[in-house]
Amino acid sequence: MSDANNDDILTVLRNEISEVKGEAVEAPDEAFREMHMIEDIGLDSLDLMTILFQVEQHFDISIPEPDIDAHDLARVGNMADYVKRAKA
Amino acid sequence: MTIGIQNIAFHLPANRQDNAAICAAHEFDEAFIADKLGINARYIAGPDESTADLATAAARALLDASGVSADKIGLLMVVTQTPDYCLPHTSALVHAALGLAKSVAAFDVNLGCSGFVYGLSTAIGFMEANGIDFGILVTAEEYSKVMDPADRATAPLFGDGAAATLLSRTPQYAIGRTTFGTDGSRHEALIVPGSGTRAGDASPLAMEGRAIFNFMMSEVPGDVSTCLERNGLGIDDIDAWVFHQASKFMLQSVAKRIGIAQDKVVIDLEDGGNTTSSTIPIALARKVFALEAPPRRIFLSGFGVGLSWASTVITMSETPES
Repeated sequence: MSDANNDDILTVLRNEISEVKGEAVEAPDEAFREMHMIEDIGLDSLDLMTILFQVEQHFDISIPEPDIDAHDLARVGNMADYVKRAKA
Repeated sequence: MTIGIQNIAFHLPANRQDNAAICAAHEFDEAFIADKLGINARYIAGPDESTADLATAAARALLDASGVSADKIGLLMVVTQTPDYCLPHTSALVHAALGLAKSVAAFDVNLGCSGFVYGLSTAIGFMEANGIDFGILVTAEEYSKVMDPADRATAPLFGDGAAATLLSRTPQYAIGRTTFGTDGSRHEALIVPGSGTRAGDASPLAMEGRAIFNFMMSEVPGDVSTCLERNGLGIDDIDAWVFHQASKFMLQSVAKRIGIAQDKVVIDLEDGGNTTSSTIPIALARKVFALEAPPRRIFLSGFGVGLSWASTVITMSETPES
């Protein structure tokens, strides 16, 4: 995947998060973007590690460890924006 | 007959640390440790209880359980990265404690979580090359001596322990082709800085959990595929999968990625946690060989420190001797 738009990225994130959580996360896109994967969706730190791995694999990008906190990537919208910038 | 695994025994220190104790001391989440790591307790060696002590206890238990006298042993190999001393080698101390003959070949292998699978191949190759009929492969580790007990990444996970495997020409299980891998560029992902000759301040075990997870998810599936291919097998030919017991979460994640039925994946973390190089032989002893009808074909895969990995297939002998 050489490029990615917001809709593609959000769809991938929704699918991956739902897969890890074991149930569909059905919030509308705008609300979904505001959700924090641990505080709002109920994932834990190991689940987040899985999401990061799957996102790296899917979009063929690398997410350095310091960027997770620096960009608050546990929040869905921040992760989506980070991927979009990485693929730009 | 070809050399293979005749028997396995293990030894865990007496000091049992349950989740309540570790959580009370460090505010860990008890449910997280039990549910996601799959661990209820780990065993911690005492201050006067060394790696060689654990190794010797496991080897003694093995000889007693197998009905093999110490004077028959021709090889003693100890896999450890927490030796009693930088020198001499730990196997020399175990050799003395067991009262083995001077003709015994005794040496250490410095490997972590891949060490048991590496050790099987190394020991069997050595025995075949030199006409040795009985060998003991010991895996022994005391991470508690190099860990920071307050480190949330490692303290709930690792436990001390040792396993001893009897290799002989009357095996219960024969070893298939083994595959190996190394990525030394990622050696800092699991390291005890300042513990050797490289300049630097000594500090406790440091683990980059995400790097280890990504390594496992990236490298192990390919190694499984290669190993199956080299043994002329497919996923459905394997009756049980014994991976290095990194954590329950790790095992379930890698099994899902490979496409293995979760009920064929052996999980043996509850009582003892991650004992690094000993997790595979302890799991075999407790959860596989102890079964009334043990599975015929078992896939073994160890991965971790190095970063290093190795996989093999063991198959029940047609005429098991014990």
